Amino acid sequence: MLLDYPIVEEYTTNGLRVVLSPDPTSPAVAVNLWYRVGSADEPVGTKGFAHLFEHLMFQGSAGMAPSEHLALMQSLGGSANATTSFDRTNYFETVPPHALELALWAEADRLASLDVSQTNLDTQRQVVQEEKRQRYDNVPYGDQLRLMLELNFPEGHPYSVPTIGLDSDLEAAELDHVRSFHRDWYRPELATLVLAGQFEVEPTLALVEHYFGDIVPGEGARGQLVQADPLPPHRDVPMNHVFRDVPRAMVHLVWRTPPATHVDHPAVLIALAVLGAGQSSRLHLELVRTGLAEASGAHDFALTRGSSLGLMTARRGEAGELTQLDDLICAQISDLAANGPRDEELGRVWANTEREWLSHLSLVGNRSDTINEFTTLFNDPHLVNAWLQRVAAVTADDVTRVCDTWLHPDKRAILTYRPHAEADLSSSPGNVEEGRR
Amino acid sequence: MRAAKPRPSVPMPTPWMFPEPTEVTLDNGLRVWTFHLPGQHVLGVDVMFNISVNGEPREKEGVATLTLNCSDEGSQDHPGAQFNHLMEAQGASYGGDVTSFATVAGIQVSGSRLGAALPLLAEAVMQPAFAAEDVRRHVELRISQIERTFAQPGGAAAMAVRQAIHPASARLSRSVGGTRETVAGIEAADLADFRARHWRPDGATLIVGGDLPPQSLNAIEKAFAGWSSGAPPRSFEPSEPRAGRRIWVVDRPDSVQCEVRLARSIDASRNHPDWVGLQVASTAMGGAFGSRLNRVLREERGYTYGVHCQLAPLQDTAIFQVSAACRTEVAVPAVVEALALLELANDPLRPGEITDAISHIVGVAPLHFECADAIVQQAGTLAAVGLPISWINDYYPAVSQCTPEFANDAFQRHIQPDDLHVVMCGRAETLIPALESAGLRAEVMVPAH
Repeated sequence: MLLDYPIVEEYTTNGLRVVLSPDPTSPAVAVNLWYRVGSADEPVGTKGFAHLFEHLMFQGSAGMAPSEHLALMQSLGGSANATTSFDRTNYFETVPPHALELALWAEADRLASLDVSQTNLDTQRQVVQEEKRQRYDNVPYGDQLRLMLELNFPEGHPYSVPTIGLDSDLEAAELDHVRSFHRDWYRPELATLVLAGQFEVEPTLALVEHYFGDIVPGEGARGQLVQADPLPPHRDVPMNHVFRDVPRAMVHLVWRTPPATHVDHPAVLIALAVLGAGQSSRLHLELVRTGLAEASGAHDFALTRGSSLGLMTARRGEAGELTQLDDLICAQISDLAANGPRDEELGRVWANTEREWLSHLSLVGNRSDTINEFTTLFNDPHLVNAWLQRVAAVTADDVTRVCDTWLHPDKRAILTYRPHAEADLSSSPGNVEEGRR
Repeated sequence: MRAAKPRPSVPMPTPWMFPEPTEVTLDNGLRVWTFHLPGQHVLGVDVMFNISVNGEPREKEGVATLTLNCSDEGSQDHPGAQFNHLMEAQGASYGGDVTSFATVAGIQVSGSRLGAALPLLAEAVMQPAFAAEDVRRHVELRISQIERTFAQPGGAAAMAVRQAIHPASARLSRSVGGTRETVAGIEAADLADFRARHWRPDGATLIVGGDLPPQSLNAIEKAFAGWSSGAPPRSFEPSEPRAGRRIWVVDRPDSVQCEVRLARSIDASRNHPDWVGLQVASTAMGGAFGSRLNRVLREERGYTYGVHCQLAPLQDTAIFQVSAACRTEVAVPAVVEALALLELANDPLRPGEITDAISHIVGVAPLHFECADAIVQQAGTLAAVGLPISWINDYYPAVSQCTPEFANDAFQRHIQPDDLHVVMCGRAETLIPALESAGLRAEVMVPAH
């Protein structure tokens, strides 16, 4: 179906980009701010700082007490949070329409006047380290992301370290760095504000100008995004075979795929979906229905700087072996590259993409974040309406071509996990890393 | 730094109501609730059965879950992978859930494809094939899932909590999806038998929500007309003897963090006179970011990434639970402090905390029910426990009128910190002596799974 979410574009007098998408049928309004700084912009020695800083944005400003922001939004019947990724940091609230002005005030206040104490820094450093333990250090496969990135990106590349960062770098973070980071990166001209939901355009633009328009950026040079050139495809199939305390063996095949803004990105997504999305996908039929694998999937990280990371994954089943799963996945890619997708495969992927997209955008929080992604990374907020057409325009020939160009089996890297108990039986080639814990 | 601009005042919210469905009962007894929600292009369609897992044979526990899990692995009309080819060709996603008191099976689908997808949902519900090889595969998958859950510290803690808060004789002391032992004995015939007895139209409710195309109700009637009537057997949750307090450590010698749970079963659910007070007090205690437990343990102490307190209603009872993950050296201090914060006799929840909790619960409702699927799910839960839609439109006004006295009293009537079972999953070598010094005598246990 054709989407027609309205898009109104504006700038405040000090250069904050503003995109409004009113929707009178929504019970809420979403306020979504992207700052153009992510973990990819962290210099060596400060890995994890962008995310730690995101926590500190909740630790008080001229008009807001430490820890008050989230509690205030929730007490008004709203929700609020923030996330940090490689390419950006986003802050968002979804609030009832009558609380919109307060949310704008709160976002403007911490952009204009963040005020963090040493005590708050120390406490949030501990909170972030607990988050790291809970999500990565204390769970099976918790180092999976780190190992995939290490395999795909060379040392020193902006995507070579996970956003959560390194404990030693988090320990070293100081209050001076908090101030300079805010000054360099948290500036109106490096941010984009998107509102979606129930509001009137003209009065809302006036409110945005009132709260944001007079924020003067700090002295000194603004942050410069770290750039990266496209990486060449993998050669000679780099591998990392690890043994860990995990309940099941897994194999991850990893490719250097084109960045999310590349013309081939939609076709890569379609190819990955033909192979790995849903119970009619090729990997499910060949690996899971046969009992060789318990689960399979395919995914692209949609990174933007030079190269992204494409992934196909299988968790070994009773009857399978990892080398066999690797072989079968490669055989399916080769078949797709040689013969292309069948019409019914493209039809299935298209129908499911449409449902997932409509379902995702039915929440104003998701819609505002998606519009912000298209505005910030693609410089085109209207893509929220045009994206499905862009996906629908992908042809069987496009899929064939990207399988060869980007997802060819010879261009893969391999990461495997096996339970410790299998270490003695292993005779796998490649770089075998001993268990860390 | 810019000086603060004056904080804008926030006007009163506009009142909000959960939408009322249109209700029709088909000849075979299937009740249909229809929510027309303009602008919601993706529809949710759920078939809700009042199935208690108490109705599973003891040696085949998990059969309710496997019945759902295998229901889309081919139908009699479209065996094998054919069924999912047809479903996914419509862009429809089939799924469901089994809880202790209900089973739901449903789809999400674009409005324009509802007509083509409904007969497929009906096939999954009325005539799944349950081929022997698919069932064997799902038995293995479920066993793998149990082992992978146990390998997660949070999963192992959840298994221990179930055993701590219920006596061993209770079905709820074991996973809704069964244990490795019971699941291993389940075969295709068990699923067919269970489905034939329990997946019946009488007493079931079909809920559809979204921007409905014309003739949606006719399409539903047509798709489910061939389902012969028959009421499922009723099974009741026997009342359980109260278990003595348990303080358990699940030993993970290599853990760098400890999962902490404080929990108990409460003899009250949605229809209990104390329910509103219990929910308001639990929210003020730990249901939101600024609530008492998180304010102290995360924002003041830095012990954890987050601590949550939840009161989850089942059919006639509820489970109260506080959960957090803390680094090992502060895990016991976190337990001690949480238990002190839960003692309202010393420091009752203050009016400001209660007001914030109330405005959070009431204010977040329209946002929570923003999309069709959320409305369908909530309606389904009410259908499963035998409550009308009007229950939810009575609930929010009652929450608005809850007083601090009532919330504090209700909480103390049902939740005493000394009665809360304590489960910790982490390094026993460190945790056991630390608990002992805090006056809590703990045992090491391995949850059955």
